[in-house]
Amino acid sequence: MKLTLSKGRVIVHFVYAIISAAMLIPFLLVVSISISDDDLLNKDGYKWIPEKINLLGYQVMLKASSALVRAYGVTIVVTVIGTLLGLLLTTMLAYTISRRDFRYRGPVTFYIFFSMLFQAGIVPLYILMTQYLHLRNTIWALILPLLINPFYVMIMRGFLAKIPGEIIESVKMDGASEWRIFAQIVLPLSKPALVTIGLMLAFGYWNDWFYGLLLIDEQKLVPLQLLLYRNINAIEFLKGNPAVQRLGVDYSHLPTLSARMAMTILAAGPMMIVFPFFQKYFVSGLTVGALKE
Amino acid sequence: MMRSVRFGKMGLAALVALLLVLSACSKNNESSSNSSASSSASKSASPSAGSDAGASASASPSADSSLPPVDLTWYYPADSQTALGPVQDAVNKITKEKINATVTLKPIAFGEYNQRMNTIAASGEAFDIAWTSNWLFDYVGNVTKGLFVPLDDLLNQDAADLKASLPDFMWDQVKVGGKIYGVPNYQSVTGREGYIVPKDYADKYGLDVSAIKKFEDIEPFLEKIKQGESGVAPLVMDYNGMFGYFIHTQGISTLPITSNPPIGFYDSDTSMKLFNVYASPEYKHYLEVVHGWYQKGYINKDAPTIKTVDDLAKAGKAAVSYSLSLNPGTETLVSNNRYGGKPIEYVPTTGFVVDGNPGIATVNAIGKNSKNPDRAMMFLNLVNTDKDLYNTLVYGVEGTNYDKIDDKTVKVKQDSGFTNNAWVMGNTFNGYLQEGQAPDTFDVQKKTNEEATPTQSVGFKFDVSPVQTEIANVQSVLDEYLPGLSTGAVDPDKKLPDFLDRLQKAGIDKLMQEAQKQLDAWKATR
Repeated sequence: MKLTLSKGRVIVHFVYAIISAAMLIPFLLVVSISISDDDLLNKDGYKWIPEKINLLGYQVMLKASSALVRAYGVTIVVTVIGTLLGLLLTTMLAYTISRRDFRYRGPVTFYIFFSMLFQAGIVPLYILMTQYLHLRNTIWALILPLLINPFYVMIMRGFLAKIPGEIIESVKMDGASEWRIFAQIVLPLSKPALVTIGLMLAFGYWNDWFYGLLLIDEQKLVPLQLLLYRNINAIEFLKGNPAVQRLGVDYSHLPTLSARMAMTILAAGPMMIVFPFFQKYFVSGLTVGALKE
Repeated sequence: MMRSVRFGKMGLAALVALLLVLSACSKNNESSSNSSASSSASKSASPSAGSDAGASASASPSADSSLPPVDLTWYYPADSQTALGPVQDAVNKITKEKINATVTLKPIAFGEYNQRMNTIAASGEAFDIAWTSNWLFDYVGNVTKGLFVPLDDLLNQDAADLKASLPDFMWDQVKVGGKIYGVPNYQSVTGREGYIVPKDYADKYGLDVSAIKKFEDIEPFLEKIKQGESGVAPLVMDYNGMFGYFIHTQGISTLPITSNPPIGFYDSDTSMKLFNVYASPEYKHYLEVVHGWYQKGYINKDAPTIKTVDDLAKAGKAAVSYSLSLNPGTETLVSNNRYGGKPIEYVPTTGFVVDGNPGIATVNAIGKNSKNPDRAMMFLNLVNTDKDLYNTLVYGVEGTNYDKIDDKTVKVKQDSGFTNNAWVMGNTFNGYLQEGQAPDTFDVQKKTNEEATPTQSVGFKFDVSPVQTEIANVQSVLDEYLPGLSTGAVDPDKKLPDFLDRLQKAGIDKLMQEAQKQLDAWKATR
């Protein structure tokens, strides 16, 4: 195969190269900081290639690794359960409202759509979660709020609506129950959409720290991203606050820059290795849903 | 068609059933923390909750021997408390014995405290004690919202020792509408403006401390550093500049309305006539001086963009810095945070002043929805009078979290999973000293507190609600212009007129009128 380098192609490649670089470079810098010596870091600023390699940051983080491992466990459990359950519920809901012969299709669709436009906000959510469902400091506090995203339901519905009604009609003639139609006909037909929505749900769970911040006090249930957020945020907050200076907080013992960056790498690393394997499904899922003849 | 309808009904029924099951399980799980279930009940009766509490407290004043056991919750900010359990047990051992109560400590990270507590407050969730202040989880605002119980009666009934242990001016400062709503944590309440100079530079370049009276008097010293050292910024600034840090040095007191206060009055003016400090001749003079310094390279080039001077100073890339709280006994802490433990010297440009509302800089208050406000008061009384309890709360368990050096001094163990800030928990003068602090630190601090000169507006609390829009507008103008101007990076001749014009448009006059009105009214009551 001959590669033709037309002008347009060069430009396109160039643009994408720049975009990739803009994403890669900051990451490489984080890697470089994480293995740098803190004193040199303060003295000379950031360097692409550290003058002196110092793995103290990783040592500090691994010494306190129980919290990190624990946070990994929490995030993985939440992501797996949340994604599977969320996928099931999203698909069931979307399938129901995609069926033209469902009498309450209009009202239910509107109900879901309505929640996309108007949200009650944090306080009612907090009251519901803590005072009615009593889910504070439970793993469900991290799972339930993200279980169904109305937007994903709408995407799924759009996809499922394209399954010809005749297929369902004919299976029904053969005597299949609604559950059987759903499980054996609809689900297998919608694999690409399932993978796409599943990945989006999984990212949502993996990256979430907000519900942890709001609803988790116990150290053992802190998810990974919240642990990261705390480590990075705490020191910035204390240093930049004049009132704190007045009262006198000793923040000299808080993690140093290299330790914080080491933590970022340790937290992000595994996901970066896992992601490329799923990427091809992600891409195909997106395109399959888009155009269908 | 029939089938599909049935499916629809079935689906709905299944959904309802699922919800019922869910809520049923969760109810069973949650018998231990009864707080949340009861709070909705007490919330509906909230207008009378305070008086109820008073009644129950007065009913059982002398029942020390027969106090029913209670568990109290206490929310406070802290950086990292991964090994809280043993400390909590030690605390409960003391409180169980003395007041038959246990306490559940609920530390929340500083950066999350505001959001978490505001959510808790808005949801009406019950808590017994919460930490509050004028800079994080606003005390006055939350009192106005009715989040806290008035403590005057409780203090007299259950906490006479605590009431007597603090000077009157501390109790005056926590009063809102004449009532006390929180227990102030007594600590160093003074401020003192001036420069911080690392000792090695001071000795090498012959710093004459007595010659520095005004902020610009440091210039010859900066010049010597500039000539003698390379790669070192003689003076290090962050994006706030240092005008606000030398405000009393220039004879002005400001009202703490935004992070860089825009209005103030001359200390010599007993009528307290407010003016825009950025339109004052003092600010113009300041800008001319620092712009000159910036151009001569006395100030770090990245001053307008960096958020803290600590990193540069710690790395030895900067020499002189400044502070508005050069209090006695703080050198070790400041040096640890900013100069990596190097010896430093304070160069004060003012005497000790008491400014703003130091009494509400750190307060513990009792929640309106608390079921046991009287017991919470007893607990706070104990925290502020029992040294063992206080030191356990601050330093943890001896041997695990700290080692004793002598009777009064301790060395904190790093990485023991428990650190706390003394000023969050209670009266800091009851605590141990930390390694490196002089034995008489607390005596000196107390004496300084009593001898310091209060500014005329000390204790005045500005109610921001009538001018919230103006404050937000002014703040955004300040955020835009100050980093460039106050660090000397941009030419004041070009930018200052713009800046003042924008402040006018943002409504600084209206803000000033409102503040003047409130200030005059407050003054009339004194």
